[in-house]
Amino acid sequence: MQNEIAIKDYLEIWNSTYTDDPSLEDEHLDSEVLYKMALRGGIEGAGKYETEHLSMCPKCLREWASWRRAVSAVEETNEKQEEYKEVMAYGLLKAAATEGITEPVTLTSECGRFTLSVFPQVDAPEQGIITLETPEEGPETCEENFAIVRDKNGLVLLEGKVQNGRLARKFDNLNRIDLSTWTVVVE
Amino acid sequence: MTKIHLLITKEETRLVKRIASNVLSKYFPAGKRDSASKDELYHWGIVGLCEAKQRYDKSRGIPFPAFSARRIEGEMLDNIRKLPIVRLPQEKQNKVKELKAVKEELLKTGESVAPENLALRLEWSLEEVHQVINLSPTIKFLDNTTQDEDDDRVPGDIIKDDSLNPEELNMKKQIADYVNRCLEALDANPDRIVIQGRFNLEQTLKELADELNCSIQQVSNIQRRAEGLMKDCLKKQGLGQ
Repeated sequence: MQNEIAIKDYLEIWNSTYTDDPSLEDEHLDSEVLYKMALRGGIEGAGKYETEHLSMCPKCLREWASWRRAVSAVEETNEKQEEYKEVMAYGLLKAAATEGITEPVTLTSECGRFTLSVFPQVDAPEQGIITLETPEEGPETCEENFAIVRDKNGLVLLEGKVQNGRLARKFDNLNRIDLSTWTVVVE
Repeated sequence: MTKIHLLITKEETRLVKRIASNVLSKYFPAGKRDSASKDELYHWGIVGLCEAKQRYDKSRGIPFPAFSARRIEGEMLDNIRKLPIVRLPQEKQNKVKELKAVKEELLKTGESVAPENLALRLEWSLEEVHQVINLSPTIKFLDNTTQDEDDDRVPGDIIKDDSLNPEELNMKKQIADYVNRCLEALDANPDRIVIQGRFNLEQTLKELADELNCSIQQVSNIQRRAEGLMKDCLKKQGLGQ
């Protein structure tokens, strides 16, 4: 419709202008309050001041909406109890310097199912071999399944079918790896 | 080296999957999924979960599942923002910019920004306008900033445009003030919440019905009424004539 007033577009302008409005700065609602308002029927239970502020503050509206999505995702997860075939795991390494691997490292995932090892070459420590090991048989086996291992920054360390309980490859840039968090996804 | 033990549960794995699926369907509708794969989202989700486990403060009164769900989604969105930087061809980026410029021009003069009018002004086909509009949320990811803890922007949010001259900024501020006045004229609950939910946050009628503890039909009625009031007010301010 040619004469349709685009409320959405006007609200976008309002959003971008009022997001950094300094007059609202000291009045923003706490995360705890926004979380409670994001629960089912939470608006109804909120006070007048909170509802007034929320409905006129782009920043609080955004946080409230993200709490809404979080609450819904938790509710959906509890309700549907979906079966999944993927396996997800992670491991953590807290070290003084996590960037770059210069000496052999062996890490076990939090679930204990996977072992990630990095073996730098003695003469060229930025190059080396990365391996993932997992039980070859039994209930925890991932044999013949596709696995991806990533470092904290999303760098793919290993990718491929698990065979004989193992996945391995040569890696040329061990100095780029950050193992402070590493993840395994098996499909 | 000290290793921290923070076990991941089956429910948490399920939560990461659920959020990844919601993010994919919301930001990467069918045909655009080449920009992010599920396993990448799982990875970012797990990283977010780890952070949530490390930062969680029980005394704040927010249950861990909700706290972690927000951090999981935040980590996924942070990284999605960085994704399509090199994947959107220059020609398409220019089209998005062209459309944005015309849209802002029309809004300043209070004219309709309906796709039909945009097509007329740009001398594009209606189909092309729709295609470029659909690209817009993607191009907003081109902003290369990362999300910090207090930054709750999500894809599709407006990023401050510093390219406007003072006169244009003033004009924009004036429009925003008129809109603010019209919002203030509505009742906070439920009218304003419904208008913000539907048009600003793109929430569904069902989501709003849950939030307001009423039926979908009731939300629809509230929207119709509030929309009418809002439009009348905007017209009175000289917008959207």
